[in-house]
Amino acid sequence: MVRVIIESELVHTEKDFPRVLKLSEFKEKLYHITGIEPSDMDLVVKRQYDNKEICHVKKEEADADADDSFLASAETLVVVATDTNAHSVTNQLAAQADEPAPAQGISEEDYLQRDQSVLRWKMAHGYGRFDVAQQSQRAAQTLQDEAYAREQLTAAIGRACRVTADGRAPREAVLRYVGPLPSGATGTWCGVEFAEATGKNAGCVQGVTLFGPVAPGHGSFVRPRAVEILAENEGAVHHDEESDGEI
Amino acid sequence: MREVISINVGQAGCQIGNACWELYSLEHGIKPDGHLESGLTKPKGGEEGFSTFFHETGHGKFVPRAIYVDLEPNVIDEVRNGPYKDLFHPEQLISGKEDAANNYARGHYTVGREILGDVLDRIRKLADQCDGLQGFLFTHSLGGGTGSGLGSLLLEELSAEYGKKSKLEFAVYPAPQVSTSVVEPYNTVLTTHTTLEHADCTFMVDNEAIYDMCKRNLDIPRPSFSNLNNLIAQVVSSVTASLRFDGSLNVDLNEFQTNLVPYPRIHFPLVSYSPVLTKSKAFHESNSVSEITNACFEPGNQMVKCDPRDGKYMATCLLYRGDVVTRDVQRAVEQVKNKKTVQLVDWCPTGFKIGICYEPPTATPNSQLASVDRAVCMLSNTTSIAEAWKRIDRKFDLMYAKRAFVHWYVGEGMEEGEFTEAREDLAALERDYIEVGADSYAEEEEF
Repeated sequence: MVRVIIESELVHTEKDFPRVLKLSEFKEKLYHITGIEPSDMDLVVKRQYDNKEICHVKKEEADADADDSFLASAETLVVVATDTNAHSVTNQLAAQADEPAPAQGISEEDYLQRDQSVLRWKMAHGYGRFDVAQQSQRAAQTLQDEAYAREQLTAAIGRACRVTADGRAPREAVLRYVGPLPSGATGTWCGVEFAEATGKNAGCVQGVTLFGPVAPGHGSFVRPRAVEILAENEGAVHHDEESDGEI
Repeated sequence: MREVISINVGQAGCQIGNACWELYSLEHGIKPDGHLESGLTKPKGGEEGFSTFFHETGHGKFVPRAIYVDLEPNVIDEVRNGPYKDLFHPEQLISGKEDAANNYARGHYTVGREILGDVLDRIRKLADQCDGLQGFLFTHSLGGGTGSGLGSLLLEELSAEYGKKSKLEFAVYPAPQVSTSVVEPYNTVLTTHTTLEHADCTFMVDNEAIYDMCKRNLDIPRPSFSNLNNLIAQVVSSVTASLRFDGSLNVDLNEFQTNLVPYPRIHFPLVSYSPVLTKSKAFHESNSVSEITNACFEPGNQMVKCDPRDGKYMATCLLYRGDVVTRDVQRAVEQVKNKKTVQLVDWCPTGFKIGICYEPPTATPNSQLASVDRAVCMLSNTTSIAEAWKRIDRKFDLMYAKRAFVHWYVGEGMEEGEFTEAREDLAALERDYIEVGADSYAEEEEF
């Protein structure tokens, strides 16, 4: 047996072959590996360790079975197979390899019809959006958030507040913005400016400046429920000198 | 007794099998002829654990609970004539005369079916030697004809005959850039469709990921299949270590499924392994528990190319081996849980399982891999593995649009309808993964 590394435009693999083999049999085996028609196949046989070419079987020699010792080697061989037919299937596939292909997914109707699917499983167990209790709880929370923002926060822009979010200790800040965000997140958000650089941005989200801009890392956006407006005499380390009337 | 029978199918399956059994033998102190190494009175690893993978014949000889199947004789002849020829009973090595020519249909319907009866008989014999068979461990490739066709046929048959016994697979998944054969996408899609309901848990390994690891971490300029297989064997060994060794925080075969697979179709955990180091580099690394655990989250340590930062995790299993103390593991796990890049699916219970085996990994003499005091293998069920399915589905579509090489399959009696049926099942699988990732309400509270 001789170990042969097979290389073609589409394929790279290793396989053992008998050292004595008819060329036509070898080509037939390669056809099923590389997809190159035996009549279009051009083969270069090399020694792996020094890359020295041992023989070159051109396409025209397709039927020459006289020599059956082209794999007679004790060393690992490399066989490079080339498809000489420019219009062959393998050459077409190679040319297309990097083209974006249209995604052939499954239609929502067909997916819904299937007995075994994650969707059916979620529906059966009330997971995710099929969890009715959690959905209504979330809806209630959103309503609460909206009401709180409308009734108390909008009038408190510019006031000192305490922000409890992100699982972190409460941080003092100034409320700068109340309203929606450009995209992605739904509902009402509050833009806050921290005294220290404990925030996530400068008052900008996805290239849109919603307040400030303040110093980088001093701004953040949080849910209304995370914001507690401080009484005039409480905390207030941070004076609001210039109201930037941005809203 | 909780015996596991290993079934190695096709060229890749058998070659990985060889690398695994060489490693198992070394780890348990078994010589290539099946006898104990001199100085040992019993195999290393404890009676119970050891006997899950080896059977004692009664003459001081130990035989792997394994079967090798290939439709052509070459690869198995190598086992028959190789250094481990006396380890196996000749009946465990089954080869045909006519190969599958990289064709799923030949492996599944025509040539493969001819030796099916034989193979099932031999498996039955192995099963009869077991007191409490846990299940089966398959190694095969998804892209080859025998591995995909006969492999899936065997999985189907074992389902029918052994019912609920666990069936785990290590499957060589086609690499993104280079194929081992031109029809690999067809074989992969067809076999995945057939086995989706029969395999309980499938660990995929993509040759390109392993190839890059060999080049980058092990300084092997032109990795050969045997280099790749040695590394794969090290990973398989890590997964099976807690089955094979006593006195460890054990993970049973069915526990992989229980802990990692929340829904049967979503059974393809991503495997990562660390450390992968050469002997010369090993001296300069401390390889603390925390370091090797964190390394598992680096794409370079993954067995399949995909980006888990884009996905959500359903479950994670960390299997440590070697000199590891529980306290360090707990600390490492805390770190992992707090990682910003690890996003969990939050609408269903997500699992976190730890396994500890106190036997360190063994490096085979001809491997570039350094002997290290400890290593970890991470199995994580993440939606990002769907990238792998997308990739292969796209390749399938390009070919099927031209009906390229479909006549090879039709010529073996397969109907074209099986192609479209299989492809639709895979499209549904992609959609399943999207559904897993959807509905996560852990929206950021602050940004």
